[in-house]
Amino acid sequence: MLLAAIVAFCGLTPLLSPHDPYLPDPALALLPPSPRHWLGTDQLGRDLLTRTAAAGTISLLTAFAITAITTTIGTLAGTAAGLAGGLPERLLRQAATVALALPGLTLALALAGVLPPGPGTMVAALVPFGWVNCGLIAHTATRRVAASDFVLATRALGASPSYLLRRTIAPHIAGPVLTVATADFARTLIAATSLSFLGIGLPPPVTDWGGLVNDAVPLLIAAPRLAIAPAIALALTGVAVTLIVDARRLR
Amino acid sequence: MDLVLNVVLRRAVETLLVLLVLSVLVFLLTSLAPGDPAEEILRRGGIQPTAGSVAALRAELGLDLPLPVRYVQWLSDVVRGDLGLSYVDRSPVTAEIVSRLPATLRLAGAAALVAAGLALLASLRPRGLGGRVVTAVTVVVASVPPYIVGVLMISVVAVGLRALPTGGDTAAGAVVLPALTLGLAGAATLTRLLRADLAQALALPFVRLAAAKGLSPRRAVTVHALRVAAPNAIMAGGAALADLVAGAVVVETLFSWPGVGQLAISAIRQRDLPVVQAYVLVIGAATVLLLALADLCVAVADPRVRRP
Amino acid sequence: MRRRAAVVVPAMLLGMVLSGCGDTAEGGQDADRLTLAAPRDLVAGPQDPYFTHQTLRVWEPLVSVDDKLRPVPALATAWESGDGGRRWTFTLREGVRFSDGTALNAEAVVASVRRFLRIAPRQSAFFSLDAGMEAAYGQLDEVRADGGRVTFVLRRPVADLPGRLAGFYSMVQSPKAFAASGDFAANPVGTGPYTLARWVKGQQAELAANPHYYGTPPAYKKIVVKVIPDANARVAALRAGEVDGLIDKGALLSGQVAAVAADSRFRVVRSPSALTHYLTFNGSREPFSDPRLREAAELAIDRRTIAGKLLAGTAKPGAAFLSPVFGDLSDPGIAAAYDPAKARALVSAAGRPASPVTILISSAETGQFPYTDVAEVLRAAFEQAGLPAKVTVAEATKAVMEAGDYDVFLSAYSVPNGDADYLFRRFLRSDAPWNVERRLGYRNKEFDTLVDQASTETDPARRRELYRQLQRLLAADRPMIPIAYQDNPVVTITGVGGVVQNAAYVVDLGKLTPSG
Repeated sequence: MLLAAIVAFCGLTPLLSPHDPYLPDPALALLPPSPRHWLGTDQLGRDLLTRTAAAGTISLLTAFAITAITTTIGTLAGTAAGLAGGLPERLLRQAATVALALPGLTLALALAGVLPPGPGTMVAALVPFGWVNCGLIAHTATRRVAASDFVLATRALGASPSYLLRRTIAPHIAGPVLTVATADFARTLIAATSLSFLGIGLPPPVTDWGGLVNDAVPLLIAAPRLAIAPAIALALTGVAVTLIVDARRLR
Repeated sequence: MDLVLNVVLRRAVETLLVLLVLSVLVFLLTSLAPGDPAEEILRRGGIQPTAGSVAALRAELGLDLPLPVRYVQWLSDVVRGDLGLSYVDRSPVTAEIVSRLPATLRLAGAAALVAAGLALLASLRPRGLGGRVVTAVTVVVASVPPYIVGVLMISVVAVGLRALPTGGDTAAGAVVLPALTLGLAGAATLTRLLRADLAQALALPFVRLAAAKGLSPRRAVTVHALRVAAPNAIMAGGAALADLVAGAVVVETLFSWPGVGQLAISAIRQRDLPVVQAYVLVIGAATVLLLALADLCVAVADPRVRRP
Repeated sequence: MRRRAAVVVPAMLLGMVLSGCGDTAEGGQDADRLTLAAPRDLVAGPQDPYFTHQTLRVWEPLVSVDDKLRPVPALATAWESGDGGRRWTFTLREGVRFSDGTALNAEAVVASVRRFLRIAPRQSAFFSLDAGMEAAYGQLDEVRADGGRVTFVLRRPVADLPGRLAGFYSMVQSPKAFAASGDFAANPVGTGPYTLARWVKGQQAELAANPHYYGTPPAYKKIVVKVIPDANARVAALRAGEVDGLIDKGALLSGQVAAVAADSRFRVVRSPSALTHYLTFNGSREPFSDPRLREAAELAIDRRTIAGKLLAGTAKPGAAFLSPVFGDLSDPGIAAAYDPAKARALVSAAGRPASPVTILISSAETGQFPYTDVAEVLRAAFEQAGLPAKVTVAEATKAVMEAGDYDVFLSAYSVPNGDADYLFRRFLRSDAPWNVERRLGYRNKEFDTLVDQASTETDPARRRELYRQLQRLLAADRPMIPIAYQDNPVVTITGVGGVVQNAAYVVDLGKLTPSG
């Protein structure tokens, strides 16, 4: 519900708002909240509400796209390695160890510094280290399930590998994978906005919540709302995502 | 016992291989980065580089050798503890990293304490008041990036209440805010995983049987379930610690904590590649060893994972 | 046990919190002890040519600059030129001792200069011994001590040697401070009111009053200068009472100034700096190879808004190439025009570029100045004038520019001393490294000749006229345009007085006093 509300807010506000989130008008800079600008304006006279929403769209899309990629890679690799065992399995674990071992955010920063800024760079910076959790969980879960009695029994009954995968293994790993994927979504959201916060994110004028907070830092005392609005949006999104998963798991 | 030894040996060999792969990646990262290091150094030295001086320095640095040869040379230097010289001030990188490492370890250690303590609290008594509060707080904090939590902590606790220092590591208690910022975020992930596994473990027949036979819930959790749930949690814990160290980059910058993370950020900003390289390598190697250790613990804790 | 777990963890946390409450007497409590913070480490170490920044007042130069970049006496009390600018003689202050107790003499000054010459080119955290050093000593034939005076004999006349030497390039330290290699043997040994008592790299420097100082002993016996790179953390430390003031270049971000100044606990001191925000055009490719479009771009920019709103009044709108801190060298006759209608007309006359122009900014500078905002406003201004534009933030702007992959570059420059020639010679002369390597494509023979004439002209009036002529040329040709002249606001608690900052961000720590 909450997440849907956030998505709707981010998606619809820029369409409905009379303001352009990217057009500066310094004459209107730092206006307090008013009926015309519900959250006031930022240091360049842009409507804060519209900007928060527009930045949210970017944040959510980036995080979703990257998580989708990492989850797919992780699940496929993890399941395959878990089923195959032997060499592929060891390769996966070692690849995971290397990926985990590299300080992800720093490396992402370094990469983002070397490559030209843009969505492609963000993907390149975050995907190589993002798939690991999913891969490991999928792998561990697959291993467990594959070693459990009922799978052995099903296999002994002559079930085909694809049947095994679909009917016995997939349902058992779906839960953990979903948990991790959701955690990954939150993590990616944080990592991507961290890059923007450190000033190495998407090229302006497009920005995400991290970029908004970064822009607001010098004005933290004078106009804290500039930082609070995107921060609350980020927090709500994160909490909503987490709650959804917890609720799903309890059911 | 033999089995365990076998596992240890195999893991040791694998760990060495991983370290090797890591070193190759780190080496490639900086040697393939755009820009010629020789030219970079000369310019920083204030000389308008000429083709001749660049070529001379390239020869001196061994940059004109083939990549594999350079890698072997670099690796042998690294093994002997020589991480090269900073482009910016020509000081030895090893000394700089070594002098800053304790601060990062102190911060990561304190944060790990916070994270592990809270996660255990929340997992062992998920329905208790403490557990609920901890869960709620950690979920919220983990959903908010550390930079926002950090800024909030500085504004409220340090500036507003004047209860704790805003940063640095000289004043007493300075570690508290950065450690909380870092630890709270780690706690949520750890709690979620630990609790999910615990719930699964508690539902296992043998645990339920034990409970039915009159075992107190506490013993059911601590003796049986925790043991079963431990492997995933240990792995997750390893990963979470790695996250802590990576996350320390942002927190160290926010709180002016003089660790390697702060060093790395300023090195990236100044394109001081040897320092970036050293940071990635050192943190990477440390994490590899940590994960190997966690892996071993899993092997020891869960007989099902242990294999000949 | 269950309960214990529930108690132990919060107790542990509480313990950690409480343990932090012990030491709150960090700043300001002790009457003769002061704690300041700076964005960068003002100590660079024994490999650096200077070891410490001038602002720490551990060492002193022969000549310093005032708030108009005019040379003013430091260790030299007077100077005179002879032989048409080929010989400069500096008279040393009397009764000066180094912090090790030995007397300052002309031989020590000569030794310091010779050391510079020996180790140059050498990089520095502050001012590298390269281009600026060349400007100061490039024509030097001989430096010698005679009596209490130091004489520089030059190969060619230099009109403003004191200005070129001002600050770092005329640092004097005891010959005993240096090892044979030219590095420092141990701590710096200077003549200033303070000595470097302790230094933790990247964290803090502790200064102690120099017992041998020749002037009035400083009011604070001990000054700690912390390094706090993060702007928010810096202001937080100030507001939390952990530090008594923020100094150095970029101590306060422009957006923070108003809020801090409004707080009655603090006193903000603004003084003009030598830093100017320039817009550099890539004149070696379309569209800005066309002078009409450069003019259109300039007319489209509302510099008053950028300086007043975006830089929050910490800067003044740019006009002449040399900022007003250059005193009468700056040409007051040049005005910044803002005429969006004329800009549009010029664009339609010259033809609208097909692809968007690239506004390049450096990610290193976005942390110091609101460059993302300025770039956004520039983008909007260009687009309204009919020039489609996009903003690129790059980590390695040098590589991008050398590849010619930009159209305008927004960046801030300063001069290492009171040397106007530096800007023209290093940036815009036809063979200037900036001009050539960054592909400005600016070639103007008349300009080159004037630069050379001005640097050797010893008559102040004629020299001023030459510099003004140069600025008029640049105003017409527009290879680079000044967007704004930046002030450098610094702040202390109201209990600290005597804050004076020169145009090179040097706050004289020796003059700080407790005030009511």
